[in-house]
Amino acid sequence: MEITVNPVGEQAAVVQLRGRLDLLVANDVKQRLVKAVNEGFRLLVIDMSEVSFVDSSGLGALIGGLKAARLAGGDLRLAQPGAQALAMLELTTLNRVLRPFPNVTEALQASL
Amino acid sequence: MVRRTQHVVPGAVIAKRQVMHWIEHDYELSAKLPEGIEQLHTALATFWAATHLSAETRMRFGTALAEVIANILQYAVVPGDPPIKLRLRCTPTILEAQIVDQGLSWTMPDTTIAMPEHWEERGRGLAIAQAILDKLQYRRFRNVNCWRLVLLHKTA
Repeated sequence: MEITVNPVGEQAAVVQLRGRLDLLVANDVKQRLVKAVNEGFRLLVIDMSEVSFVDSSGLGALIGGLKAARLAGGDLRLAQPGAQALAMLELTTLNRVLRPFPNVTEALQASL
Repeated sequence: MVRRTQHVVPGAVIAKRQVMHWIEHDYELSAKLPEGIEQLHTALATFWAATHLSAETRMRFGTALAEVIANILQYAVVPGDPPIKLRLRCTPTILEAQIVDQGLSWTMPDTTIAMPEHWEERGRGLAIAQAILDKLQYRRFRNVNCWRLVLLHKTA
């Protein structure tokens, strides 16, 4: 999986993920998200448009990032998740805390 | 009409059987990460190419199967164990996976596996699989674990 963190202003960053978000990469992804929050990016928007598959470990990594962002007074939002990711969020009811948005722009603009 | 081919290549299809509207493939998955997971996704791609199922059915079954295989690879087997045997079967009404591994035994709850709270980062895998599938069975026979996953479907 490729992980790219692109700052948007001083307090927000778009995290682009590409590939499968699964147990093989979950720990790395969580560490990158927590690191980004520690660097001051309290609003993280995860660009999910190129994530082909998410498993429970991948969801766990996103929850780990969300907890770090919330502790910093911010949020973690998902932009453009695919059908499989959306199904996972609904099945686990995690869509109540990991808010999906149709695109990166709307995820960045929504109020905290 | 029955067509059957058989050849043994680790991590690849080791047997195919096809009766009218009835497709069955056998695979072997490495007991080691990340190979076991990569081989699972390759196996699924091969199997889907031989079937005519809707994208949603493939997605649901693949998601459930990946969770069970991930659990086996993380908690039951260790690198060096014999390969995990996976049989995928598609009939006009069901999609089925039979998985056999020689890892540690499990204790499966008799009732529904509870979905962890929102803030938990672990423990959702088998709850997800159970929620998707029409049947998720686990049995221990002598020194092997046997899983059976069933999803009812209508061929697209």
